[in-house]
Amino acid sequence: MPQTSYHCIDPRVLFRTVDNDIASFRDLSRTYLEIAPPMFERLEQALQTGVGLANACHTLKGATVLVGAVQLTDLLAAMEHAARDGQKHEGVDLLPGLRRLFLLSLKEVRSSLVNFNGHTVSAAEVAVPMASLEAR
Amino acid sequence: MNLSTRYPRVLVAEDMEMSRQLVRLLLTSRGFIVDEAENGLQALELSEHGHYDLIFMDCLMPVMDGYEATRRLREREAATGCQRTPVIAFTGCTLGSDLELCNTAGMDDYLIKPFTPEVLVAAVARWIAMPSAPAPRP
Repeated sequence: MPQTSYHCIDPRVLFRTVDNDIASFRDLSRTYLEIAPPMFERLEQALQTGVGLANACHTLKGATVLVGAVQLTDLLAAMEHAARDGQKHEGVDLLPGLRRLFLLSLKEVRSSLVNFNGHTVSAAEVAVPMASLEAR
Repeated sequence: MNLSTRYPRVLVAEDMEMSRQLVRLLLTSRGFIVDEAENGLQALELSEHGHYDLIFMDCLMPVMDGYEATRRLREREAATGCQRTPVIAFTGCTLGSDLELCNTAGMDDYLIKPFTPEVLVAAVARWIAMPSAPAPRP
């Protein structure tokens, strides 16, 4: 079996959130892959126009937190707060890093659909400690 | 199925599809019947035509946010003499000012996102009785 490691998401977060039910885990993972890309497009458009940026960040953040993408979620939260404070340019500066993390989250969620069965991921394989998510 | 069994009905008003799906999965597996709204206006319309034992209301939604929808729900209940439906806010904020907004709008309780299944169930149980049997699949 190939060794899978996660640097952006922690599949255990979603698994635990759905009562450790693997079918529900896969359903929600597929939903993430379906809804997150158009959400990210709306965010990029909002950064260009300056309209609706806080809401775009807020909505995408609601999805990224569910798949355990801590760093991505934190970036979105920072952008949302900056946008609510009227600091659009700070969000533009964060975009390259945000895009890299977002694409990585998609890749890892796709991988978790195939490789994660609820028992194969050890703490050592996940870059993000579970405790940091539970403390939120 | 015992025909006298009454499954609690819950309305989930939340614009993010993944969050609605999550709450639907967690509640239907515990015996609730779940309806969904994508914004506050839809939630108001659904709650006007159907009885709900409990409403989950996201605070920030397009078209009409959860604060406004709850305010209007409370006004309607007062005008018609309908029984008050418990409303639990979904919020991503823990700031006192945000929780005060929930309270002022007429919300009864709140859940901070993301939440665990245990926290969701505990919030429901604070307001309505938990069903004893799973609801039939639609």
